[in-house]
Amino acid sequence: MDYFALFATAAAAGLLQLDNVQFLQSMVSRPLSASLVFGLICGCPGEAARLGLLTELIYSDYMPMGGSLPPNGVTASAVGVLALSSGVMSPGLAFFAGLAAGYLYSGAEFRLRTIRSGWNSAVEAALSAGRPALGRRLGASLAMESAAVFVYVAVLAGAIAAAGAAGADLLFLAPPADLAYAFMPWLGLSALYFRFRTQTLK
Amino acid sequence: MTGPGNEMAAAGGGGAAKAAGGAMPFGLHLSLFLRSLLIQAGWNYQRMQNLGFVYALSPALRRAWPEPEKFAAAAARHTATFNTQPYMAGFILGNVARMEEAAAASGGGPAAEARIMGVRQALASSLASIGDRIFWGRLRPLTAEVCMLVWLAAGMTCWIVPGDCAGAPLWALLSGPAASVLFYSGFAFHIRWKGISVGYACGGSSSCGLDAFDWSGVIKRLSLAGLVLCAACIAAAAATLLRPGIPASGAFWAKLAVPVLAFAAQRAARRAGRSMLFTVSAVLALSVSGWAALGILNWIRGA
Repeated sequence: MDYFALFATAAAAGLLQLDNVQFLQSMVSRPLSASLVFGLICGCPGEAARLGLLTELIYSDYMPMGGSLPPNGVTASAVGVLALSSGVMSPGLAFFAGLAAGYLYSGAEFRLRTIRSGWNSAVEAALSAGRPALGRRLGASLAMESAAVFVYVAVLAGAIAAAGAAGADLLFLAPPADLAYAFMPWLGLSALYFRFRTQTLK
Repeated sequence: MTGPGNEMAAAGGGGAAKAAGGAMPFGLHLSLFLRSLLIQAGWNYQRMQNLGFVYALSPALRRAWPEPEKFAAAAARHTATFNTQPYMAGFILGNVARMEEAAAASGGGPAAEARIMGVRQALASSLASIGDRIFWGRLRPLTAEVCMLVWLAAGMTCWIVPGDCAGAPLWALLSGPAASVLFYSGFAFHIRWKGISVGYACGGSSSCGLDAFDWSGVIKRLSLAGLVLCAACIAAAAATLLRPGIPASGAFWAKLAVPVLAFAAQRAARRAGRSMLFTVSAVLALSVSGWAALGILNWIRGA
């Protein structure tokens, strides 16, 4: 694996994560566009675009309503594209590795949100002292979120790269993973169909 | 317009001119809009969007309460729990900005403060429900459909036929996501910007923003558009898959089996109330176990 690509992808994921929840929410961070960015960095934009769209279709079933934590599309795309470009995994395996990474990131997001709960009393105290400094608090929050994704992606992709360097060959799992991967466009389309049909007939 | 906020303003003294009516000054509108983009930045389990809300509202609070102590007291009030759909927060920001101005003009007091917090909470829940259904439930999946259709129009079929992506030109790759982002963000940013002015115009009313658009009609139209675009995607994808001579070609029935089995699995999973994670895991587990069984069978035959 190209370590510059790993670093640049993890950094881009850290930046795009801000768009995912904390700032803008413009859709640039959704898997279908984020994967393309990562694919351009890693030199595999075409396969990354496919991986991104399929991740988007699968994750579309989860809605971030209320305080729920849906799987994280940015980390799923970044880990998937890096795994794909590493050569250790087939497209199908890389896709499922990315999906798993996106699901597991919810635990980190939960901890970050819990940490921020402790800020409320500090903000109230600062307000009563006449020094709100809310901008600085929110800036720190953005930095924490971005850094968490950077570290998460770098560690997971680094582990895949290390496994490859150590001679681990996961390609024997490629046939069943790629067969399951062939079902994903249709699983995604069927999920959209049943969702919109239910909404329209309701 | 005679909302309670305006009544408060009318009852006020010297500062009432500021709160008496008219549109929100452009500078304040822009400031609230830009800061509202950070409304989720401090999301926490204890009070959810409260930090982002206070940050976004601060310019309006400073305008209404120029004295530092009064500003601090007003800001502290708004550190209470707050949560709504982020794209709909503009309606509440505009509304609360107007009510704070009216409260300042009338000298404030516990009754005015309680009313502001009550309206804020009522609107947050109602607008969250509308926003979730529009943005998360319909618009976001719609953008994936837009991407697929644009890609198909650009001749990019590799999301259906593996291995077809290698030679795709960059403009074709970019066209789908770019169309999706423009489609989604255009709508979302319009609502975010417009929400602030609508909320300010009807400030004080607890139905403010709920009757600003025909939300029910918007939701129905988006659902219908989603179904129509989904049918178009399925038809185009099936036509691409079944086209003779595509790289992953095989027997007609074999190519047809994948979509048919996927739809059947999805339908069965939904009827059983299972999540997408379950369906994806089941497909992967079946593939792995089938492949392992074939391997064992071949090994036995060889032995």
